[in-house]
Order: sequence, then C-alpha cells, then structure tokens
Amino acid sequence: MSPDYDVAIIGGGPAGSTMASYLARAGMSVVVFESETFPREHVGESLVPATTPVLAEIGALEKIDEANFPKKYGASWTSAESRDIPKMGYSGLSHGWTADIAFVERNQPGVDRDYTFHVDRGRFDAILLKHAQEQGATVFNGVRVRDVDFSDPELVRLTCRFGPRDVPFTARMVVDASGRQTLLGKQLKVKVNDPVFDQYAVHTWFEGLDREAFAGDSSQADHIFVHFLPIKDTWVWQIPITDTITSIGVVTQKKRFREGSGDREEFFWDFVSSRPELFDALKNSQRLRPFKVEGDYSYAMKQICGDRFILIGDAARFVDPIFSSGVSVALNSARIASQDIIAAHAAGSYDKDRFATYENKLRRAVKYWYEFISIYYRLNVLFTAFVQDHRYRVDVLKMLQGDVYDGEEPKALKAMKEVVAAVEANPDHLWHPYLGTLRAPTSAPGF
Amino acid sequence: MTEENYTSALLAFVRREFLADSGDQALTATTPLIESGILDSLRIAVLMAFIRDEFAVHVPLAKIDAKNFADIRTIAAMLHEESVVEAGRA
Ligand SMILES: Cc1cc2nc3c(=O)[nH]c(=O)nc-3n(C[C@H](O)[C@H](O)[C@H](O)COP(=O)(O)OP(=O)(O)OC[C@H]3O[C@@H](n4cnc5c(N)ncnc54)[C@H](O)[C@@H]3O)c2cc1C
Repeated sequence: MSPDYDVAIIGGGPAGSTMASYLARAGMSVVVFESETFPREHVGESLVPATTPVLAEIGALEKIDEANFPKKYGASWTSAESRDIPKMGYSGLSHGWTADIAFVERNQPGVDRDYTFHVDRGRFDAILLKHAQEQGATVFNGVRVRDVDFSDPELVRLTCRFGPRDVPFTARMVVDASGRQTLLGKQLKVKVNDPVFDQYAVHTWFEGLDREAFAGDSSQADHIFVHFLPIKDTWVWQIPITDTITSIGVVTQKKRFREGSGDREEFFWDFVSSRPELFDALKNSQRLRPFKVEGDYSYAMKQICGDRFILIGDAARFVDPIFSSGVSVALNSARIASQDIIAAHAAGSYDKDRFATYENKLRRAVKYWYEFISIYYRLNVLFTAFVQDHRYRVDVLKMLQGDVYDGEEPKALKAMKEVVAAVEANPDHLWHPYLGTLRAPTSAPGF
Repeated sequence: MTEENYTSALLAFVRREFLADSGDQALTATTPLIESGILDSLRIAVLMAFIRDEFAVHVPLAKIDAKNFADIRTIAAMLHEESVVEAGRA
C-alpha cells in the first residue's frame, strides 16, 4: 500500500511550516496538521538574525519584509543594581544601564542586513503557514493529531481529529513540530524535565508605553529590552509589536510565583513594582490583552529522532527565553533536519541513522544555548563584563545572533565557564555574593 | 606607568563615574570601596573595562577579590604588578 503522503508534519508553527516549505520545494508530498485555526496568538515575539538565511532559503523573506514588522537592530539590558551610571550618554537616566549590542557590529555569514524583526506571532506564523501551502504542502487547520502508530515498519499511521470524528492518515515518516505540546515526546516517553530550570512567565501587550524613555538614544528604542529586577533570577522583556504596542513579560522561577498569592495579575504588578520607573510607565499605558501564563517549558528529550520520526523546534527542546533563541532554533532545526529527510527520501529509507547529521548539529547547538543560559542565571554580571570586553564582545554577539550551528565552541563560552568556576571556588571573590541560585551541573545533560 | 599614575587615574575615574551625583568628593586612595558601597558587582565590571581600555592591562576576572579591591591603593598596586607580569610576557 502506498502511503497518503511522504511526510506528515504535526503542528503549523514556525518549525512545522518551515519544514513543510523545504520538503515541498524539494518535490516531496507533505501534509501539515495544525490543531488551531490561524491566525492564533503565540508567545515568542523577538527574533534573532539567524532566522534570516532560513526565511530567504524557503523564499519567504520577501513576504516577511512586506509585513512591516518593527525592525530589531539590537538588544539592551537594564539593571536595578547600579543606578545612574553616567556613561556613554546615559547620564541622567533614571535606571542603571548595563549593556547593549547592535547586530551591525558583527558580519554574519548568510545574513545580508543589520536587523531582524519583532513579530506579532499571529501574523508571522500565518504568513509562514500560507507560504508552505503555496510551496505545495497540504495544510489542515483545526485538525489535531491524537496519536502516531509506528507498528508498521513501512509507514506511520496518524489518527487525526476532524471535527467530531477521527480520520486515519498514512505517511512514510512523521515530523513532530507540535511545540510545547510535545506530542511524540510524551507518547514515546522520552521527555525529561530540566534538572535545573523550572521557569515561568506572565505576559501581555500594552498600548502607548513610552519606549524612548528607556532607550539611551532613540535608535535603541526598538531594541528588545531586558530589564533586570532586583529579585534573583527574574527579568522583564520589552518587545515592540507595532509603533504603539509593546509586549511585556515577567520571567522567574516557578517556585517564586507559587510563593505569592498565585494570582497572575497581582504577581505581575508586584514584581514589576521593584523597578518603579518601569511600573509607572506601564501604569500609564493601557493593557490590551488578558495576562497570559507560560510554564513547564524547560525540558529536553532523550531522543530527537528515530526510525520514521524526527522532532524539531520546541517539540525537541526548550529551556528559557532569555536570548530570544526559540524561533531561530525552530527555523534552523527545520532547515538542518529537512536536509537529512530529503536525502532519506532519495535513498528510500527513513531509518534513524539517516538523521545522524541533524541529531549531532542540533544537540551541539542547544548545548551552547543551554550553557550560555546557565551562566547568565548563575552569574549575571559576567555577561555585562564580557559584552564590555573587546576580546569577547563579538563572540558573545555571535551567540546573540543565533549563529551557533557551525564551527567550534564559542571562545567566550569557555572563558565564562572558567570565571564562573573561579568565582564559585573563592568566597572572597567580590562577585561571589552575586551568584544566582540556579546552578547547572558541571556536566550538562547529555540529551 | 607607576603606581602613583594608576592611583591618580583611578581616583579621577571613580569620582567622575560613580560619585559625580552624590556630591561626595572625599574619596582618597584609602577609602574602603566595598563597605562604603562605592563599588557593587556591576560597577566592578565597568571599572574593569576602564582599566583594560585606559591602561591596556588585562586583569584576570578571577582576581576581583576583597583584598585587591579594598581601596584605590590596592587596585593600583595590583595593576602595577600585573603590568610588570605582562611586560615580562611580551
Ligand atoms: C515565556 C516565553 C517567551 C519566549 N520568547 C521568545 C522570544 O522572544 N523569541 C523567540 O524566538 N522565542 C521565544 N520563545 C520561544 C518560542 O515561543 C518557541 O520557541 C517557538 O514558538 C517554537 O516554534 P515551534 O514551531 O517549535 O512551536 P509552536 O510555535 O508552539 O508551534 C506548534 C504548533 O503546533 C500546534 N499543535 C500542537 N499540538 C498539536 C497536535 N497534536 N496536532 C496538531 N497541531 C498541534 C500548535 O497549535 C502550534 O500552532 C519564548 C517562549 C516562552 C515560553
């Protein structure tokens, strides 16, 4: 029996639609099942430049350019620790500056521009999914995949929910791009919660926030801003969505949220009030959406591929949003995995060993992300010190651009690990008291 | 550079960058920097960047301890020592 499709993709977010575009452009027959009806809201609005070459390669960049999303030229961090450091034209600001970077400072292979975008994910995801359809993929909206049967060695059987009934589909292999639903990770019991991180976020959109008030100069007003709160391991994102709309989210450890009343609105304002100037600016703006909560998103998978399946994007792994890496990992994991799938298709075999290149590349890249994130939470000031150090600045920027899929371990990462070890070992070190409570095991998880 | 050169450059920098608004100009080479709250973790990072750019001395981050950063005098002494080491390496 010949299967209905070459490849079935679960989920039409950035990972699934990018995969569908790659495979359809290679002439394969592809179906995408998306449980929601697009456009739908989604968290994860600030991109990094490593998304650009992927969007260009699948032919979607022009459509994204035309959508007029706010351009993102860089990132800025503010801190509550040292108020009023009169430096580099920041004198007189009511908050303490810590660091900022602009993408223009480093040429990135395959990236023809010094900006990326902040996006309304409802629109962004819909553009990409429609694009996949235009490349030849079959797309079903409002259809949920309930389970995948691997018992036949020749194909996979998906049970899909169409309105009131279950409909079976067959394909030569399946790609899980179901995001944090992690359909296959759960079904195959390969999902492992992160041993260190158990992060939690409350977020919403505001109308009329004065973003210029936080910027050192107006060219930075459309940076992503990361505002540190004087509460350990806690920070706020500020992401432009339109000229007047700004996405704001508080990220902390889940246990800190539980320690409070458990009310998300109360939690949000309570935490934000630890930065009075931010609190006041937000109180003077208008909230547009209900507060939304994200939790249980720090996990890995013991397996990201096997006979007739591959996991990509959040379905493969997520840790923490601090470096805005999620959509970039979604797009690049789709790019790298699609190369293995196209080769497997040509060879007529979808066995696990066909996906070894993907597995190695993705594991290495997410290991860098993981270590970078861990160091950031462990000794935050180190990040500031490295951004200010000419020897490491460009290397840190490379990470922030999301350029982690090829080449060796970033040298800044190695140097940072050494400093963290020295500070941990020396109680007299002046940064010792600033060590965060999140401590990653020295041997990073092997998955 | 001599230790005295380092001392005066550091005094000027700390006054200008960290004490400009407080009106507290009583800083001397022996004012305790940590207990007085003049230096916190972030300001240490800013000071390290200044040292690197201004004096071209690369102090290992592992050396940021209470002994070396007790006051301006101890920082100057450490810089002098580091610069001798660096000159020897060159
Ligand atoms: C608090 C927070 C903040 C973040 N901030 C950023 C940021 O600033 N920048 C950034 O790049 N990333 C950010 N991220 C990460 C980003 O949201 C994700 O990495 C990204 O959306 C992953 O894309 P994806 O396609 O893998 O999954 P998703 O975008 O989640 O898409 C998965 C799709 O699958 C569908 N689906 C699920 N189950 C099924 C099923 N059984 N059948 C059919 N369809 C199904 C879902 O409806 C969904 O549309 C953040 C994440 C969190 C938690």
